[in-house]
Amino acid sequence: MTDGTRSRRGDEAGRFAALLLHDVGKYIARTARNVQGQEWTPELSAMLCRDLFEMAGGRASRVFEERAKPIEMLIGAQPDLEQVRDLLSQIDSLESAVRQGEPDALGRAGQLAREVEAALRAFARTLQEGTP
Amino acid sequence: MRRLLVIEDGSEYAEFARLFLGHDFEVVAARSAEESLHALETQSIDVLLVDLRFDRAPLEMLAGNIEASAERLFAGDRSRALRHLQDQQGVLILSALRAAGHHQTAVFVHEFPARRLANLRRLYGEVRAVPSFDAKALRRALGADA
Repeated sequence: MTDGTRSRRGDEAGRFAALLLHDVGKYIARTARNVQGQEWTPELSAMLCRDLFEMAGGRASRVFEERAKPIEMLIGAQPDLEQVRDLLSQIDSLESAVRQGEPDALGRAGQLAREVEAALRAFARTLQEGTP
Repeated sequence: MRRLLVIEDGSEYAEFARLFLGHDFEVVAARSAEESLHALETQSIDVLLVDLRFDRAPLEMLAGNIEASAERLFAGDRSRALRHLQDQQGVLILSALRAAGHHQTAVFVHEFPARRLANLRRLYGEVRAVPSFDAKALRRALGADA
């Protein structure tokens, strides 16, 4: 692969990473980053469920897969994305308890959502600085 | 109470604003440049909260001209022009509002590179950006304490 091709792929991957941050990272933590150490009211719990499981385009893990696919096609498997995939699978495993409003599950899912946002933000910044 | 106009193609921003900023602002929602102009011309609006990317809006509701953008920016490629209009719709709407004489502070929830933000300020006056849905940071950016 020439340097020019590598650079174009890196630029394109950076654009897709920004999209991934916008569509998943920003929205998944919409509620969670503002409810730390506070009570999860029914209104807040319902909004968290929408952030995690009812995003525009489906559950966060599904939207993530759609947005991550072109990045991995351009620059190969990325450990940072694997980490996010694992966080999202943990969130999915909590769905039933979160929907039932169990406080521990809500707190844990919120923590995981904040970690997803932070990881995707760091990944997007890394790609903007140069393809890993 | 101050009035906040939320401009987006979904309902996530307005829902967030009503829940986390509702003590500071009365929230008014608009889904397009046309609806935003109507709101600004019929109500007293103090500040704008603008989504950047509108990928759920019907084509006919998007600000900007696909054919002209395709010719001017993308060598006639209509699909790239459409993507551009969707990806930058918030800025295009803000441009239309400024052209119509509405100069309220506009806040985006987006991590703009510093140069891009400086350019937006040069073009559109008071533009602020907060990288995430952080209610405290947004309250400050929206001038809730003013």
